[in-house]
Amino acid sequence: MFLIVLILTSSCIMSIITLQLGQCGNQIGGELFTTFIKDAHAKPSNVQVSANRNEQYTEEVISKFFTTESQSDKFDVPQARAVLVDMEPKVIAQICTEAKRTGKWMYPEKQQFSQKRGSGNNWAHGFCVHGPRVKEKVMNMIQQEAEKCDNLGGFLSLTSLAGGTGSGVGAYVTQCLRDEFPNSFILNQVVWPYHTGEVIVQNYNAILTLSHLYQSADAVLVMENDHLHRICTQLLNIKKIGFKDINNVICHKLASFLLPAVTQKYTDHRRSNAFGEVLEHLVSHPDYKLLTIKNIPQMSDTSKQFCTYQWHGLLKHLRQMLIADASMEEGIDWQVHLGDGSGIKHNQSLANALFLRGKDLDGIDVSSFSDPKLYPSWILPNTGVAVYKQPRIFNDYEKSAALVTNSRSPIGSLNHMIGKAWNMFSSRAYVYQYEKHGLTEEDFLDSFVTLEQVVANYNTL
Amino acid sequence: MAQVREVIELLTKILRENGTTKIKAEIFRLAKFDKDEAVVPLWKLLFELIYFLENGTIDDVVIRAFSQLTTEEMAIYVKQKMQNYGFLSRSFSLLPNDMLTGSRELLLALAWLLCTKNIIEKFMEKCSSPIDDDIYEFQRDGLDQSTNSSQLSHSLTGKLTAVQKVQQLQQLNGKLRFSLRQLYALQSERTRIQHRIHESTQGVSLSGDKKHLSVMEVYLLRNPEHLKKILRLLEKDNERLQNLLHWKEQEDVFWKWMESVLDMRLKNLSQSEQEERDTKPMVHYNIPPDIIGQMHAARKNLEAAIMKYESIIEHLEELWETKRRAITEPELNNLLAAINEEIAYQRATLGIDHEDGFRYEGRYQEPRLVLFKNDPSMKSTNLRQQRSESNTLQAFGVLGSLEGLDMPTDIQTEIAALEKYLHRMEIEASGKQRGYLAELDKLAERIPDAICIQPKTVR
Repeated sequence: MFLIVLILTSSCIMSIITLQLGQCGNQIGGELFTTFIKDAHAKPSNVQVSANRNEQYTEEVISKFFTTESQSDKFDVPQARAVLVDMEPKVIAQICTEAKRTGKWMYPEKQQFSQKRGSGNNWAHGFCVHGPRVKEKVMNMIQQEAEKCDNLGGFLSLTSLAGGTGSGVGAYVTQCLRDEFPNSFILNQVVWPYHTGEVIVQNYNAILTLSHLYQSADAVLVMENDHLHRICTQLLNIKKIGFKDINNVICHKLASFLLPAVTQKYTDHRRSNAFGEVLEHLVSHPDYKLLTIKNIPQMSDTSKQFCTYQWHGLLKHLRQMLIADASMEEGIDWQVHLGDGSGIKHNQSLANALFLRGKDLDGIDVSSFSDPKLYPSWILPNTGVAVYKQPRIFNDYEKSAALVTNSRSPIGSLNHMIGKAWNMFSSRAYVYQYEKHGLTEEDFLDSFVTLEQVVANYNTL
Repeated sequence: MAQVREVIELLTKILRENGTTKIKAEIFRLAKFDKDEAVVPLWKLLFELIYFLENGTIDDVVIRAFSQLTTEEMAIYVKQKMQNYGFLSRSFSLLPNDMLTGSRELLLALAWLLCTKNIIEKFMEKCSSPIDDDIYEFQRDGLDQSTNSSQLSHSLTGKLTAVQKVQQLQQLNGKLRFSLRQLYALQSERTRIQHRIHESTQGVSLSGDKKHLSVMEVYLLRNPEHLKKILRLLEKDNERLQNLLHWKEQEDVFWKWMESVLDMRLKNLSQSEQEERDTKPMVHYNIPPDIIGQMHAARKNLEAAIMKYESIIEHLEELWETKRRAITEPELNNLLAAINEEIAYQRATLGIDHEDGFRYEGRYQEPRLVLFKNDPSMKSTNLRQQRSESNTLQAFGVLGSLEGLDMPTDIQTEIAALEKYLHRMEIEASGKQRGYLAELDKLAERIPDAICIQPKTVR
């Protein structure tokens, strides 16, 4: 009889399966699971919640992102609910060993796919050649992972926009995922290349990826390398910035969104932030799928212990970051105001989700985020912002807030990227390399049109 | 006669226990003598029983109906339904709609309904152990609050342009889709967990028809404090069943008494009245007003159609004769294949257009899953057919029907049926796709500057 009792308590948590695609996606994935584990096993003295509550929270994190037992036996360490795909074996092997070495978690065995040759930064090679070839094996792995979940909340896929494997194979796999799991929620996290990027065809790859993801994913979460880089230099005071630092910032943002937090949407039923529910709030309109995360505060570990914050101040900054479209709390343009018509146009949103983690959560005033002027006139009243709270301290920040926003934010960069790609395309530069693998000029044109439409949609918001 | 009174009291008790408004046994006696005091309660009771027959339960809709419907509306509704059921009494149809007289006719109608529709048996079927119901029934109280719809209607009527309204509807539609997907996820989770509970409780059972505990039983084992509530429910159920049993034993007394009512009616109806009534035609309530005109029109249409097609048929026959000599075997086969395909397509379309396939009759009821494990060591002569797989889930009564739970269906046949359905849908989808593409092309031609790009999925 005790067995049953256990089953019933561990049920109601929605699990999320992570797909790590390409070099960038795999590196972020490895870092992300480390972040989850670190958070779950944070020193009890540092989290400021009761032991009982802490235990519940830990259990929720683990069962959301990890498997702890199979039908036959219990694992020694939790295994990440993840499928790893890359065309080169190096990175996957590396992160698998790193994970195992921690002794706290590992990747499930035989859920990694890699082969000998990469896609050479050619999106068409990934999408048209590698994608169909690896489809069966990868989809089998995903299916197996899905069968381990009592309640599959959805898929989180991690890729870069610019590369060949992550973006090309990623777009293809997302398409297959949509076919195979038509009722699941799919969130694609994409890393936007530097404006002055190192890969010459990055803009081609990016528009092809984005336009394809826009058709099959439920939401596309954008992380811009330029913004992340600035956060590293100006807020975290890192001198020599490497991929790891950037990935750390990404994972901090992702985790503050994905880790358990409770909404008050259903008055009688306290529910943790189920993936589908957050997406329902943010991206229910099929024309608007781009998400960005703005969070506050961000600082180096050494400064954390010397700082205290008030919620009022944090939220004031965060709101200004939203309307002035700033990626971090430094250098916000305070001249931007809501809807006076005269000044600079503010950053309009369709929906926002606010995640508050830390102390003194009672009685925080979030009404400034539900101002009707922030949103188009046609949304239903009071449905602009959803608030999720978690009293447990996250990543040693006494108080921290993250805003996942479906707003005009990424449109500037998107427009810039389309422009650059179009310039290259009008002289048909490098197009033959894509045609070689079966992509046609028409496919390019389709992508341009799709994204132009996205830009136009957001501009009329 | 004292016994009669007891039996009628028992009947009123049973009716009361199954949700009707309280009615006194005295009403029945008054009705026998055609007293007017009994008229209104009997109309009410008839209305409630008809509602029960239609919906399988008596809930607050009935109470609202009493306050919202006029007496005339209610009387006509009841008469109409009774005629639909086949109660074609002339005197009943002639009862005044203001509910002032005619209690004896009503009593007879009531008895007829009780008898022909097996209402008492249906009450009995409704009595089932509360433990059989699953956990969600038990906890539903908290979820029943209807959401505030005034907020929604307010914003929808707000001042928005057409484009904005479309945007809003698109978003609402999206929200609905996402919610449905969440619901789907929860549903499959529930099934999985239920399966695990059934599997891990194999061999422990409280009832004969399954070999494991139900979710409800496991829940009660975890929360013994709820046992008291369940016990109360069980006791109440027991009492109801007891009453029903008593009724079964003694109902002949009631029917005998009803015979005396009928006799009385025949006796009291004097010859002159009888004649007068006979001359009055019966009022039919379920016939549309302009039926004769429609029938004439239909007849004319039919005649015209026959005339029109006669010549065509002749022409076709001639053609057939000439063609038959000309056509070769393979040509014929190709033609036949094409025709078959067309017919299959048309049939699929017809099937889909038939709305009833999607409408749930009565209340929706969750499928009840029971795990059967075929144990090789146990050679039971199970009534249920042996299955090839070791584990078979059986779905009981996917749709709640008034007749209670259906016989268990093998999941394989369900799958086969669904596959068939899927096939039909595919045919229909491809047909529709073709249609829409053509339409899209037509539309695109009208806007010269537009580039029309088909979504990736249709290519």
